[in-house]
Amino acid sequence: MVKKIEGLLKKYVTIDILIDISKSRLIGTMANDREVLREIWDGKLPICFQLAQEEIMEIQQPDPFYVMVPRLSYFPLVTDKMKRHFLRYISQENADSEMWLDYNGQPLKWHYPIGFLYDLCCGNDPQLPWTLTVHFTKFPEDILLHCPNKDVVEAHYMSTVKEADVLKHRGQVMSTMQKKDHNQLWLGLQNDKFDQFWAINRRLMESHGENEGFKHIPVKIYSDDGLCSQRLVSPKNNDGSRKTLQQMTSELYPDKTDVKLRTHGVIIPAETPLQWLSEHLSYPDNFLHLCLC
Amino acid sequence: MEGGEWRNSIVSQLQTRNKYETAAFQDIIAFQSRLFDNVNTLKNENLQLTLVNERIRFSGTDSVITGTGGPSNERIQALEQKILVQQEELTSLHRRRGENAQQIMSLNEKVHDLEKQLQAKDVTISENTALIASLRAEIQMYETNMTELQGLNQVLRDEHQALQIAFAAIEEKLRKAQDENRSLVERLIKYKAKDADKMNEENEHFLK
Amino acid sequence: MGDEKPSDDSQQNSLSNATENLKIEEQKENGDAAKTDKVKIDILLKATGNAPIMKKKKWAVDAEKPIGWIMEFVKKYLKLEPDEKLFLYVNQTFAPSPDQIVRNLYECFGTDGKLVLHYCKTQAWG
Repeated sequence: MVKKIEGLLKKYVTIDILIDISKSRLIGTMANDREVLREIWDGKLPICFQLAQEEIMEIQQPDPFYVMVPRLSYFPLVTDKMKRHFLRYISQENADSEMWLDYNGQPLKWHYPIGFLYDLCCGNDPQLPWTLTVHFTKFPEDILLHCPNKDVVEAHYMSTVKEADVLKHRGQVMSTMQKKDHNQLWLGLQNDKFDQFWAINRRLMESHGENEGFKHIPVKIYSDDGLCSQRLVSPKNNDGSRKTLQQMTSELYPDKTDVKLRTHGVIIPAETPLQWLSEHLSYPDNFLHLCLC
Repeated sequence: MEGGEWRNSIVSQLQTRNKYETAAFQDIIAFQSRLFDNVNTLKNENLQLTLVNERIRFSGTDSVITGTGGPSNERIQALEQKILVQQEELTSLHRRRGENAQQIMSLNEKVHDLEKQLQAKDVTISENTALIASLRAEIQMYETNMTELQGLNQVLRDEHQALQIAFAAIEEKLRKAQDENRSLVERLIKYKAKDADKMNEENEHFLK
Repeated sequence: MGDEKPSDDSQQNSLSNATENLKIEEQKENGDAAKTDKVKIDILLKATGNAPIMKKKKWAVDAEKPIGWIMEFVKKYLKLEPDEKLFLYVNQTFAPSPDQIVRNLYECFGTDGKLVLHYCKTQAWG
């Protein structure tokens, strides 16, 4: 139907604006593209964990530990079994130390989603299975945050969701939700339960008021070296039309041409609308984590 | 759902991604995980068995040294003791089971009999009910008869009474009539006597 | 970490030893002939709950510093014990990750040219 409108009115009006107007009238603003949501959710990466050589105290070399991990999860949530496996091979005095991971010598920040870390480290050069080194000593205090237990992960996650909600809805959706809804969000993510998670998350993806769209888009953009940039981005242009990814990158990086951004292992097409992107390709913490390629 | 080239691009990239990142490794890693768990379990079992083995070997080669044999001997004795106790329990449980089975059988028979009795009683009850019904009908019949007869009785009594009254009246009449008759006859006799006397007198006169 | 009036030496001298170290860094910068171009962002620290109120609430911080650095600074300023915790909140809603950069928070949540941070010794807003 949209193409028909296109054809008829090509002569008279600018197509872009027309398509935007007709589309925004036809489609409700909410994360309702289940196919995309499901493909995003089901993403899993094969990881190979290896114990750091200098930590091995047994004569017998420990087998590397292979596991499929969800792209959307966090490392502290998926490493219990692996940790138990390697604990037997390290010096017992380190048994209670905090475990940390590195890739190619670079410590991995546990509070970033796994899929995002992979895209940041290997986005341009896929390495599967992704081989990581496990450490129990020499915790890099200046680079990594401490994670003594899973509650810390939950606290960080919930804080990020609230931050995103402030940007999208002035914090109104999270504050009107009950504690049990917050819990359901975390449990759905932790236990890989798509429906349980999205039952609550869809409320965070709704737009309220006449505004058809979020107030601002929660987005973090990372450069190669891991530096993160976060700015206020509106899903609409000054003329009221839906802002695309390309329009955002022109605003943020006026000096760069042909900026490519990667998330969830895919390169995002330049004409993707930001509102749709935020609703469907955000991580469970409700932020878009984009890597500059 | 939105359309657009961009969405198709994203979806197809995601599908390719899942094909290469997930599908390609899922099965292998799952299988490896199972093997890993199996290996660990077997390693543990192995360890346990080795320990047991060592202990037995020690107690077997050197019986004087009760240090290593002692504990295992004790363990064996304790286990044998346990077995004896279990066997006794088992036999007593078997016996009880036999008794219970017997009880069940006799109870079943009883139940059977009682059921039969119940049935017979049911039959009697139904017969009696039928009898009662018929008797009731008879009673009804007799009652109607009785009322009829009473009615008739009353009628007869009334008639009888009426006849008695009539009879009394007639008796009275008869008495009266008889009295009258008597008095008339007397009068007649008197007259006849008078007549006779007269005659006699006349006769006498003649003769003289 | 710099004062709003960097030339006020007497005020700087009266600060605690801990902050003295940080001052030294700043003095070095000022002493340097090549003045560094570091952008500074004004932050306002507000006490919440039973947290002690800071004598000086307004500070100018390097834009590139992480929030964790501010947390450590406040802990030292308030002379908290090592086992005591400090929580920082933005918008009285969420606790930013300690490795988040001040500049990012200012760009997104700054008001009237400054970033307001609430601090607390116990969890306030979850």
